[in-house]
Amino acid sequence: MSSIWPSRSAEVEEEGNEHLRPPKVSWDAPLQDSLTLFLTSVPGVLTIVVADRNGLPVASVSRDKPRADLVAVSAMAVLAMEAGRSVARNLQISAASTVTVEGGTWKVVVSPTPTGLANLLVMMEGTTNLGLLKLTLPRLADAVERHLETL
Amino acid sequence: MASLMEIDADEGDNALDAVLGAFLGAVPEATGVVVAGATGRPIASRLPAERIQLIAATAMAKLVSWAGEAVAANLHLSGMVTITIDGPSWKVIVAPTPSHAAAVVVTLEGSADSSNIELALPGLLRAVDESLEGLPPA
Repeated sequence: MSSIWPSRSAEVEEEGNEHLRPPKVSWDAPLQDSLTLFLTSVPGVLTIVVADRNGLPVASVSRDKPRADLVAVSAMAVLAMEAGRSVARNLQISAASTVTVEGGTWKVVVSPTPTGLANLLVMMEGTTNLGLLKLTLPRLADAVERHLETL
Repeated sequence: MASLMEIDADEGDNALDAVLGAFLGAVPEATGVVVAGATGRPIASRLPAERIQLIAATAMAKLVSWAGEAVAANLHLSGMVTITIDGPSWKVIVAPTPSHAAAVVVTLEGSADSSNIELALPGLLRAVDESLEGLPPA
């Protein structure tokens, strides 16, 4: 998994050797850029985690220092999403698109990418713009899936 | 939701059915409501659909509730209130009762205003807990 903090899109080797070697580009730089753009564009979003279909975290960005074990968080979030889908199937209603876990002042939204290749976990606290989140989350899911397919 | 709390709960199952009926009467946006016991088995339900897998649905709803609490605990967030499962044209709200003896599952149309449900849900959860007191665990 990449770092919690947004990774730099390119890291230049030591100054003396920079003319000899090409810049080292992080494999997940476009993915991190998409997550960082979303994090900074939607008020109230604190953390975004991309988890694979098994619940393992693939990438993440956070406004603050991480305060959680993201492996456990993403595993449980994907479990909640899968169980939510199963509830819908067993109630004979169509496929579930998001699962939102809600407390007094916080929300955690879990949403799969279009083909189910990965899941997005968005943690929000305090004042959040849910309308903007619902508008932009599908676009982020599309972008994440495109990036993951290129790996 | 004072009416929910005023129901005479002298008969466990009947009282629970009455609680669910009163909830649906008070909140027309809700299309159905189910109570899942501590082990995920259905205790009472008021659902319009007939071809549903109720036992599987409540078992999975209990799992959703447990996983949601685990997400919150791992993020060091306290006080999970509800989990909302959204579909294209529907919503399902899952909420544990205060004692965690049961979970309530409410179904509603996607376009429905959920503010009435948010107001009524705490009263329903307390009423379900009160109805379950003295009953053997499901």
